[in-house]
Amino acid sequence: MAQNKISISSTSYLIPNHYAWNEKFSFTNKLDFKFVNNFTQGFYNSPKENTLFTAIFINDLIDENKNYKNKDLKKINDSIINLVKFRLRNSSSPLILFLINQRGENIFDYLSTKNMIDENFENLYDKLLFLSKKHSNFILLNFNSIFENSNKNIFDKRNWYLANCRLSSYGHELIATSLKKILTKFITTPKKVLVLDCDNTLWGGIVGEDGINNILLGQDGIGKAYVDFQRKIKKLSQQGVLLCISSKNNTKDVMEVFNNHKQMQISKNDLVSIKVNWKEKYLNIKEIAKDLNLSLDSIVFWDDNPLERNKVKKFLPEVYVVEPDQNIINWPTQIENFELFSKIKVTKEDKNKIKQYKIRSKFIDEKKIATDEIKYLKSIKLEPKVINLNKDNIARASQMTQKTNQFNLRTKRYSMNDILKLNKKEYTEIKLISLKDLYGDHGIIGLMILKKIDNYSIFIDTFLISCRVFGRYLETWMLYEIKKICKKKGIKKIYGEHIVTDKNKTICKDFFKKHSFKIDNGKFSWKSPGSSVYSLRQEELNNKMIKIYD
Amino acid sequence: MIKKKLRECLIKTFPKERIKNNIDDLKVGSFKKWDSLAHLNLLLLVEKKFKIKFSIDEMTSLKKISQIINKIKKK
Repeated sequence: MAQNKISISSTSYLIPNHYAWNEKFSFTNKLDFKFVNNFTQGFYNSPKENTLFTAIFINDLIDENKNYKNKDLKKINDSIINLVKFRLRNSSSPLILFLINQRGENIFDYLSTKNMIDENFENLYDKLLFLSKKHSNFILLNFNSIFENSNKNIFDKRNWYLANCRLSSYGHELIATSLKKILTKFITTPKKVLVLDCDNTLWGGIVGEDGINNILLGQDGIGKAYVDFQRKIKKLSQQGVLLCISSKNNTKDVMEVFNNHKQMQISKNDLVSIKVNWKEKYLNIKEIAKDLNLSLDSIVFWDDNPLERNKVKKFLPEVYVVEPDQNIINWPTQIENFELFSKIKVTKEDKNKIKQYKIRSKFIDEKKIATDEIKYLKSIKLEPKVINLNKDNIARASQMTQKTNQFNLRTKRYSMNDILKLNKKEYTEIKLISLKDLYGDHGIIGLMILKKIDNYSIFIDTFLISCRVFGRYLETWMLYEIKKICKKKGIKKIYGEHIVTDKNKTICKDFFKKHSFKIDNGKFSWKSPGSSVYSLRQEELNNKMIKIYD
Repeated sequence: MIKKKLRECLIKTFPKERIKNNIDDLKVGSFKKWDSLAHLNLLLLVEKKFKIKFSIDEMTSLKKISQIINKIKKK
């Protein structure tokens, strides 16, 4: 890509092939630096597809020992302006200009009067600044503002006498790094949107399980890190980054935090799009792009969960998926240093991309996505297991009934004693579910309690899954395990009940329907008032997502 | 240790050359691309990796690897 070719010219020598130019930078495309020997030739002869980088040392333009009249200084500055204007007329590629003032060490030169060189530096800088505001591809940098705070010297007298080069090796390093950072913004599309998860991203814990009072967000410990993380995000929004939420949650739970939690730094009004639902996040992100009229490659996605991140990477490869640091306390710095957010004006190219994206999105095939999803989930090597109740896992079984709220069909709470009693009954089967996959060993994350109603029917008394492992269609696998149990025992019919609660109403909504169960309006002694009962002949159990586990 | 680090500097400065383990006899001109500019870059990299500074005289007089090794030992 031509944008990887950079012509370099400067008023005094920059050392070609100095190690600083060869050090790799984040976006890994190799940059091709072409050093131009003559400063003005850089402007006249650099290929117009190339980026032109130029370093202007004001000390090269003015001889400190001479006396200049104002009109002489004006002539010098105008010659620079004309070179820049010439380049801008003939090339729309980036023009990056570092203006550098190597100030002297004699303080008396700076006492009470403006030093001539300083004054001319400011004068030239102002004129160039005016041009940079008119041309979005002209990047001007007052390089003194970069190095004057560093404690190492960017200038080196030895190099000056040896090679007519004003810079030390450190000076080369600083220039090369600054240049590469700027180039990153041109070579990759500037990012305009930040899509955030909620649980364990904006706060610690899972609001649907832990409740608003137990999430970690506050003045101490990890909660403080989340507060700082939110503060940095808020700052980004003030700089023009568009904030969005994509969270697998019940809207009520998430909005409660935004509305009532006193330590929230980000408010509802800071968000341009709120997608809180149980849909796959890549579908939400696609919608966000459509809603905002922006292309997918202007979106950055931050989520603590590697499964979610990898799904988005897989289905929306243009979206920039951040790899958050292993340690939450580094997140504030990590997001503050994220350099790809646009601070540069929207270009014609961006507007074209929006048009192209609108045309593409009309042809996305939802069915194809399901097949892709099956392929993808197969690739993460899911290994669920059914485990019998024993003295080592009975505590976990009880704990899950007490704590799981979201994927829990009937929310029956059982103490360890309750479970012991149930297990003794002949007509009850208690099974725990463990899960291993590429993302790790998740331990025991599911529970089923089945009760025999008569010789040919069973009832699903308890069916729950920890929210930690959502998104894997584990519920489908568990139902097929129930089917296996039925077959073994000659059971023909399965009954299930969904006792609707605030916490489970969305995620469990069409659970039975999706697996071919039908509503059963029969009278049952065990039915809870107001609930929906479903039934199914075990051989009719059907759901295509079981292919993941084949 | 010094020879190993110095050899790494040579590899970085001349990425397309095969640098033998024994670098004692190498000097400016040993490879086609080893001209004065490459030599300057080599010395600047040596300064960085060994955290030393050569004087202007040393920059112009050190032409052989053996000389550089001796100089590094003294600094």
